[in-house]
Amino acid sequence: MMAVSEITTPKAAALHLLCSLSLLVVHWVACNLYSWSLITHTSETLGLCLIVHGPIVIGVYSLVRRDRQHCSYWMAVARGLLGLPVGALVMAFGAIVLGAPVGIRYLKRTAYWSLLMSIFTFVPPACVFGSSRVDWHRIFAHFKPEESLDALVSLPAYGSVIGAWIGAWPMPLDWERPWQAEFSCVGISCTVLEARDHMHHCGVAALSFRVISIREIRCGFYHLRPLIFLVQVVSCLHHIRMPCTFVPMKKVNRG
Amino acid sequence: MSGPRLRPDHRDSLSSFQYKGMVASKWAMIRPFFLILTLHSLAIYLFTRGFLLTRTELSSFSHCSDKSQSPCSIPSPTNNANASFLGDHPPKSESNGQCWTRPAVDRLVIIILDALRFDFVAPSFFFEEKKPWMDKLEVLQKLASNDRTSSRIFKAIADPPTTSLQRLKGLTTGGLPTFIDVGNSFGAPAIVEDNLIFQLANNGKRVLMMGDDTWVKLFPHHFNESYPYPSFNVKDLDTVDNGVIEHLLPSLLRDDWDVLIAHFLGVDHAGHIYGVDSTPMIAKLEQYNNILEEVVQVLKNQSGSGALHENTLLVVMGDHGQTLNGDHGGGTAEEVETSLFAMSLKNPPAPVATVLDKNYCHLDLDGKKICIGTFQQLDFAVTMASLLGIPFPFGSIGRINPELYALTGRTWETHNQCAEKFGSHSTLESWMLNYVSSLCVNTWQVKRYIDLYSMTSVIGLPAEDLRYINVLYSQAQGSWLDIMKFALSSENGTNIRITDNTASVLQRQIDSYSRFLEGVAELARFAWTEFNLMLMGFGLCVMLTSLCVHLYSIRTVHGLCKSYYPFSGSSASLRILTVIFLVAIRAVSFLSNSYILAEGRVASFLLGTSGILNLWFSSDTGEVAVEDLLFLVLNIIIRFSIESGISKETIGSSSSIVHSFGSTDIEKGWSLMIGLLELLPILALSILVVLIYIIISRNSFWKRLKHFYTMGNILCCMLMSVHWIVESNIIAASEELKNFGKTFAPRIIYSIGLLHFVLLALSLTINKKYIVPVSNPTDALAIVATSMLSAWSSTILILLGRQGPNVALVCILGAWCITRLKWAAQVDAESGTATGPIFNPMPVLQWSLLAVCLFFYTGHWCTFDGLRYAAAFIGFEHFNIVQQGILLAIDTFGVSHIIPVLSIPFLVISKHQISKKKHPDGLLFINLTQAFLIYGLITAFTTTLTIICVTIQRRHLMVWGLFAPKYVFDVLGLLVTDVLICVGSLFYY
Repeated sequence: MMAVSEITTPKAAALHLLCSLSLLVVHWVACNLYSWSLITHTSETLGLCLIVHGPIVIGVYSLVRRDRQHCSYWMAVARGLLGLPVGALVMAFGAIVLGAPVGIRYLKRTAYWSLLMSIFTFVPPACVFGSSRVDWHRIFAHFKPEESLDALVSLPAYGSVIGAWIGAWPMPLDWERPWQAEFSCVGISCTVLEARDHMHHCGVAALSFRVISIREIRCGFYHLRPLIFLVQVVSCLHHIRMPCTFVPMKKVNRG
Repeated sequence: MSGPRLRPDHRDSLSSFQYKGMVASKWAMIRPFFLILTLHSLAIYLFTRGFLLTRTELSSFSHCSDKSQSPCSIPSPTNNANASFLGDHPPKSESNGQCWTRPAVDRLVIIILDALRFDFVAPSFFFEEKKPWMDKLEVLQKLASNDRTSSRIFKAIADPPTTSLQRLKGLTTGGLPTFIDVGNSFGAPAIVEDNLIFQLANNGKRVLMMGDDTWVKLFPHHFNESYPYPSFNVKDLDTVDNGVIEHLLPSLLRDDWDVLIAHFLGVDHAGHIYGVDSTPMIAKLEQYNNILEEVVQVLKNQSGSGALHENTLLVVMGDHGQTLNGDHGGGTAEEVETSLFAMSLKNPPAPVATVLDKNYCHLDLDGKKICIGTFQQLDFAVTMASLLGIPFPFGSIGRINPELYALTGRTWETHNQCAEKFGSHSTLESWMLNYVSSLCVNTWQVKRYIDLYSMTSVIGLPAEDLRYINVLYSQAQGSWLDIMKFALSSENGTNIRITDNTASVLQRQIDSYSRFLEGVAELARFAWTEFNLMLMGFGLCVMLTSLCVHLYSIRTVHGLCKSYYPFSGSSASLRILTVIFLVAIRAVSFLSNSYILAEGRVASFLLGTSGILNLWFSSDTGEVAVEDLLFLVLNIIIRFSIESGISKETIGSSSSIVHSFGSTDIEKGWSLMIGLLELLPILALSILVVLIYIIISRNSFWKRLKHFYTMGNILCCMLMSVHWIVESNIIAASEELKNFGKTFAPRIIYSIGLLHFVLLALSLTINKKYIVPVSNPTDALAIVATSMLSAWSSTILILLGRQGPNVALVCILGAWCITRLKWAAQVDAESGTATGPIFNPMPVLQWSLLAVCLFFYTGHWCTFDGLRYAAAFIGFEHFNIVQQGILLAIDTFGVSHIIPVLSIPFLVISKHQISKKKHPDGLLFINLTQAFLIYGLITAFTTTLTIICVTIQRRHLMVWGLFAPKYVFDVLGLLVTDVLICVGSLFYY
């Protein structure tokens, strides 16, 4: 597995650092400049994320495209842009299957969320591999990254999906308990941690994929701490409040 | 697909083994199911006996005229002296305004401070340490120490469950409400039992209520005037209180009420949000102190002779206590101990001290004396009723509290001619006489209730205790008769004076009545309020044991499976882990009440997750199956229906969408639309019929009875559409047709279903070859399973109502998708064998999740008002507990338990058909056993977690509102599943 390494460790580290930094910047800007949070200004924050993070991901991953001889930089960017809506559709479908609300009220948020998820998952492989069926299959079906480039693309994607799933799971909890509110605080510190972890991964690609994946899941999870909130907020803003409002409404109608 | 690579010699040895084992192993395979069923029943029986306390509500009411039946009527001088006091002279209520007892107070002001801890009211020197929240209600303490004869603080003991609703019920009925009060109000909160408020309204007392809107829910029609405020928002400390304050003081100056109830909620809410030791709590208490001060001021100002509150009793009380965290619901001392403050505005004479201070004075303050009595909340209803002079609530088992009775001035007046016969005029003696005669009525009323209860209730009281109670009763009433006879004889001229021992005679009488009443209360508490932790623990242990047995039998069957096909089994470990993970998180989620509320959505979330995982697994092979995508789309449909079901639940009506369309007034232009909506289910039904026909006719092996079953089903569907058309009133039908459609069509459907079932059972027991002429066991199994399903489906369909066909379509499509799973077959191809569900439990899990989803999809949810009562009356007009019970059970468990469990064979069949290989015959049944076992295990595991959760949360606020109904539903579901698995195994093997 160590044999073919198309991308050097510093390069991979820089790539991840850049991506993570952009997320951090978004977070900082949203928090401090606009004092937005995902709960109060869901679509605005998501839009900001999209605007800052999207171009960086497309740009950076296009740089590490695989078939450099046949494919120019702009070609890779175009591939990434093409992959964006397709991926968003798939993500939106998945979100709706898992319980995201549908309706005009939620349309904007769901769209933003799916686009962002698409940037996390679909756009990198689209930039790097294009429409090569074999590569996509290797990355997404087998869960076995063979080269460091594969890991670079697939592990964050898996991390995002699993993180999003885990984020969706505790939605029915009643959010009155204080420990649940601490989700957001953990998010910031972990984004920093995650940048360090990524360097390890790319350097020590020889580790068995299970170990990496577990660590990567954790990373992805942390990476997605903000995203966990996205899922909660975007897909089920009214669900979160459900346990609190639900009983009362029943009471009112009886009375 | 490569065929099975079996070595020839192995195959030979197998077939001989198999023929030997076939007949014997049928019972060997069925036996574990029965063992598990027995274990589960035992566990559930034990746990339920310990956890769910039941009490039957009686629908009898007390009336003024009932008193003539009691042995307590003292003949008044207006009556013939010779008339027996046991006799049937007319009630005296009209003559002198006296009903059961002589009214002692004219007006009553009850101020309820929700979750009032005992130490909020009692002075801090009663406790070891002074805490910040103590001594805040100073006005009450001051009154209790300054006006010791007319006001008093009590430690009031509530009975668990200490939730507001149950407590209000307990306070007003004078009983001990349990979780399951079997009665007419099953599900609805309004109290139908006899209660204090009913008696007040019935006897011309005007009741004014303000505060917590729970009162209005409990007593929708009883108040003259009410100012309810919503109590749901726990974070809102002030709305209710401000509303009460706004109305309380002005109302005190009005004379158009007799009983005023003001219910403050602030302390309860402050406790829930901030805890007891917090600034908002102290602020609330200080606020109450000011209000109470004003109230007392107003009352005292108006207490002069002839004024508004000349003879008013003020009661300030809590309905229950709370822990330091603000929780309540359970039975710990903090939750149970609340306080009651009573102040009478008509001072009793000085000897009151002998009654009050004799037994109950606790502590001395430096200088001043302050006394605290004890008061059982159980006694509240009867004490208030006796003071107001109204009949005691029928189901009350309390005793008139002597101290509270003594506080009011009028109970000291000699009012009874009979008292003169005793020749005693001391105020104490006349008080005692009054009290004894009230106690006599009280005792008689309690005895009447206990007698009727033990005759009519579902679960009676222990016979031995009843006998003991009877002995006490006859002793008490016997000595009362003696006294009365004595008194009468003295009137008849013998002129015996018994002054020397009147007090002691009466005291003895009071004691003997008290013994009886205390005995009854003890018996009732034992039967109705205490969890039996021992039984619960045993039940839980048996349940855990049954899980072990379950796992063991799965292992055994797995070993049996291995004997057919030796293979190394590590390839599917990821799938098994996934399944275990999904089951585990679903089960663990029941520890949280919000997950129980959202169970339907969580199940569909997990179902969707499993669908996505399927997609991922199948993309491994490079091709995405249509079924996987269809399954996801189906999941979306299920999800939306569940959500709309939840919104229906919130609205509180269980009518279907079509119904709500029809019921609202829509313009005429919509009538076509409505007609179309009415036709929609029939359209879906016809699709269903075609589908069923195709499925059945595809089975070419099935010769005999095939047409009988097909025709039966089609007939049922036609009858169903007739029924719906007639019900919807879109066609003007004749009276006979209407009658036929409404009553006979459903009944014919039920009987066809029953006929099918009986026929199947008979033909299987008498001659299996008759109905299943084929030798191939896979096809034979398919035939039996199909006929089994067709026997049940039409009944379940019609009970589901108009949504039925849609549900059936979703169910069939979902089942089809699950059975067609590509990667299920993939495992077979990889290992070259039909591995059975043990290596691939995913379809079984999906099957079970789909069943859970269908339960919610069909508009059920896990509370008693989630039962679809309307379904029980399809085809029947009148209520019959057996008929309607069966129909309701079939409706509740039909689509979520009966159909899924009985159609499990299709999982195995399809797998055997997909793999297109020749398997040894026994393997089919081993796989079927595995599928049944795993399905049962999934259900049993989640139920076990529910039981554990209920055990842990038995003191939780929502235990009676949420956890207990969930427990009941889960446990019944588990039993139904077990029974169905047993029945299925008997039919299918």
